[in-house]
Amino acid sequence: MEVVMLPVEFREATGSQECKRMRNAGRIPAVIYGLKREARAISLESHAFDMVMRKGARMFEFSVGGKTQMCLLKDIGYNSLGDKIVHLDFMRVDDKLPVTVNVSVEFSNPPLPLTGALLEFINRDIHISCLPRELPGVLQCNIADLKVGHHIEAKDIVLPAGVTLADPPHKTLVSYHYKNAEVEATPVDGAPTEPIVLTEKKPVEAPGTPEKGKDKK
Amino acid sequence: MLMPKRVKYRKQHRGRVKGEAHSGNYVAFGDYGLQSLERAWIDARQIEAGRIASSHVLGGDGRVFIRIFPHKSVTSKPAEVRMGTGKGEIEYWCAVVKPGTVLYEISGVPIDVARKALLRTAHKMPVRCRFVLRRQKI
Repeated sequence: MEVVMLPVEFREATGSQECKRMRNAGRIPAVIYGLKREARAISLESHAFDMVMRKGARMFEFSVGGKTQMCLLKDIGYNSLGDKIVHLDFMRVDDKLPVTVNVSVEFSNPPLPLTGALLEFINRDIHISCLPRELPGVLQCNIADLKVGHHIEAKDIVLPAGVTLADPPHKTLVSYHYKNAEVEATPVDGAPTEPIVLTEKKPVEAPGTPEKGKDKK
Repeated sequence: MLMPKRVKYRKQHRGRVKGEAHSGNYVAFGDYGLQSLERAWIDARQIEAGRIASSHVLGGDGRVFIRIFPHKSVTSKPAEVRMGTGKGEIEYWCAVVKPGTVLYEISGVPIDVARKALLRTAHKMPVRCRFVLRRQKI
């Protein structure tokens, strides 16, 4: 994967209000941590980051304070509606040490649909371990030969040279199976129409207890 | 109709729907989702109507996930009854929905079919909705 260079700035002012002002000014607040060094608050330009994210960039090289540092995009924080990036996490990585990352798998040529059969994508990504510069953008998997009743596991994915699987090899990715018959939500005779109330006091009447006022003469 | 199996208390206060959805606001199970853009109480009948609408479009293919559940009981008093003498009886059960909540998800079908199914579902909802895609995991 290509390593993208982006201009970033250290930010001294932290806090929610300062970050809000930063976002209104077209910048994204972010943090860099890792390699047993102090975490630093940074900010980067929103538009420039959006442009490189569209190309699926994960590895970045930042030059701050006269030094360059290779970083891996670790987390993206979105707003409640999920349409704006509010925060970014970057992890410092060493060029010579392997990193473990989550990479998405692209499934191509799905088999012809059969009546009652369901092609279920259980996991769309796998964890791999490799050197930062050898990190693949996306892994390809051809599922044209997948038959009903069979599934594809993580070990079936063909990995590029220098990349090893960090997930359990039997992690299921895709399953092609017949659907279970859907249970209709029709009320059954005798089924409760109200929920059970746990704190409800039930009237208890002991069989031998005399009624009030009965013994009075 | 969806309804809790057991509850601690039968009747609840009405409460207020404030803020935006901080959980349940991304496509978690399927490939495509229907996201609410407004706040509302969605009752069990509307949830069921939405499920039926999307199931008809899918015609047995794919899978529909309902991401909301009617946990809240809503009571009402009968017409022409004087105020007082306690809270009314339970009228229906509803889900409290905030902007950003993903209401339904669909998997196992092409995007155009999913879009059509979720658009039909959106017409059954008392809120404005939008079609959203699964976000790639980092």
